[in-house]
Amino acid sequence: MSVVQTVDASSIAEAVRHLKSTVDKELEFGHCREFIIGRKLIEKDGIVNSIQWLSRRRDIQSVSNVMIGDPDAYSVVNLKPKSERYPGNSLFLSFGNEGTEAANTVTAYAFDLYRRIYETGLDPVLPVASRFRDAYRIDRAAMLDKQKMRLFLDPDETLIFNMTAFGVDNTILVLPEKPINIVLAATHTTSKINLLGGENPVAVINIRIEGFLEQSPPDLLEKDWGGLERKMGKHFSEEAEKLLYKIRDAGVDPYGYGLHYLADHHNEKGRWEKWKRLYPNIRFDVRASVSIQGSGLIR
Amino acid sequence: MIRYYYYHIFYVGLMNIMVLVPYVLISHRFDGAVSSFPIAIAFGTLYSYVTSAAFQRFPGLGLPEIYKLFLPVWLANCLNMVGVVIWCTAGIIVLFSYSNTVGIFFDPEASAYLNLAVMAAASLWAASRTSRSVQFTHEVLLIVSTPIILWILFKALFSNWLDWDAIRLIADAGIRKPPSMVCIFASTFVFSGHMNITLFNRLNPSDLKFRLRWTIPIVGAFFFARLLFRADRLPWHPGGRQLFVRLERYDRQPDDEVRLHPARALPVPAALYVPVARVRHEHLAYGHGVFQSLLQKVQAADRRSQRACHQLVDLRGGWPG
Repeated sequence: MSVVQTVDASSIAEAVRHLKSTVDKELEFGHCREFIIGRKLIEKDGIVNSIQWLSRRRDIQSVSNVMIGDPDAYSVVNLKPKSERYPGNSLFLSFGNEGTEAANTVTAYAFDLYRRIYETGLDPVLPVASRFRDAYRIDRAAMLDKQKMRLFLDPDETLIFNMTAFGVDNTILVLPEKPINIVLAATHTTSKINLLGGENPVAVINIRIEGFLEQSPPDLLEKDWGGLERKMGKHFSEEAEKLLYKIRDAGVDPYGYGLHYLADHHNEKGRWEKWKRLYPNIRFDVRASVSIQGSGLIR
Repeated sequence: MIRYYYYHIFYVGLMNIMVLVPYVLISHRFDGAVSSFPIAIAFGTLYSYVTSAAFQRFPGLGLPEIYKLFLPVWLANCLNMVGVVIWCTAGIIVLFSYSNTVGIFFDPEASAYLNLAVMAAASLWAASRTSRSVQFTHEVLLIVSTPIILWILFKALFSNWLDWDAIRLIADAGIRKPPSMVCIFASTFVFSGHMNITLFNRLNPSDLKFRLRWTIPIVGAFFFARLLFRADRLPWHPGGRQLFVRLERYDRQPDDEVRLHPARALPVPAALYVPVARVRHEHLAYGHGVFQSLLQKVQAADRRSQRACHQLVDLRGGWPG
């Protein structure tokens, strides 16, 4: 059984105190691991105040999941999914690798979010949860600078972001093709970011994707195995670069290039100011190496 | 038997790197903390060598007994009183900071004084045991706690969430600044475990050789490395915001790494550290022991011979440590 209560207050801390007068049991956040912040709240007030409250309370776990509720948090909280056995369990299982291993779900832990808000050269990214029939739909990501929401990624972009930034496993790679798209079920992904070039920096993202073909025309691999790998790699690189430029132009840095630059430029004076000048013109080079393990059980 | 000496070094290091030292070092991380690490390692090792070499000359004698052997009664008593004040203060500081930390993470609604009283009672009880049982307790607690502490630590170290850029940044920015006195003092505090030998030397047999002392700098470097790794889950720029770095660090482990979750990972390290802390309160016992010896000294002020002193030591072979 779950009960949804609401209260109007000017801050979360006040709201929680006030909320206690509407429930018959003491609110204890020790086991609360899902925090949904309404999109409107973030657009109006930013995220810092909410995270301050989350980080300050000792009973809130730093491994809690934080997400944005779209269009608002209430509609997400109010949902009682049919597959759910304990209140809140569905959300809980959606993140990390605990329940599903959804490739389009970005996981933002509270500790990581706090770090990203305050760290120089690393910006926050949050999953966006919304209602979809009788279930949650968490397949988009919102990118923020230290204050405001800057960019919403669609599900495909979120997938690419997840692979390049976090090296998330169990994803897919699609190569549009006639008569049927070629789909690689990627079981293992590793991604590494390097910054090259001094005055004219290039971010090189080396990504290695391993998997097997889940959908393809028959006997495709026999024709040109290596060529197909290269073709899929090239396609992925193009898509990823498009996304990276889009993120760059939004003026956010969820990959942490800035932090990487600071760490690379040993204590140089004014390196942060220099980086801020360089970042809008940074170029990207995604080097994807796709390795196809096979075509599953049939040719 | 030499392991008992290293238990002191290890648990005092574990404790100091948790409660008192990180606060100072993290707030100074851009002005001298990192560069004071190598100095602290060298100095702490040297200090441990000198102390253990000195005490090796007096097998079975603690510092109070050595004073009594070689100094006039009044001077020995004065020096012992100084020892009482120093060790009592150290014990009380640790007691306070632990009861505060435990209070915040276990139950902030409980009375802080109640918490302190419970811990003080436990410490006093531990202090009233014999040195030998304190020594064995060390061993048991360390064997129980350390593997779990190390397990969590290595889980964290090999985690995807570890941000090497932040660690590089701190290490790099810190090492270029000249070390400061505050940081050197704070970081040598990690090595203060060898000081316990002033009392526990009473239990050392006459043929004890302090072998393996070269491990001391390695253990110390390991503690400092831990402190640096901690940099990763805290933003480096505003840093020093976190008041309970050590414990929070454990809270920042996603639970696919540490499967302790349903019961909340946090009290676990707290519970692991508290027993480690408790044995520290044998410091309080030092005061107790010295007071007792002063009493006896007053009663037998004229028996100043070596024989009498050895008798005293024998009498107190199992005296509170």
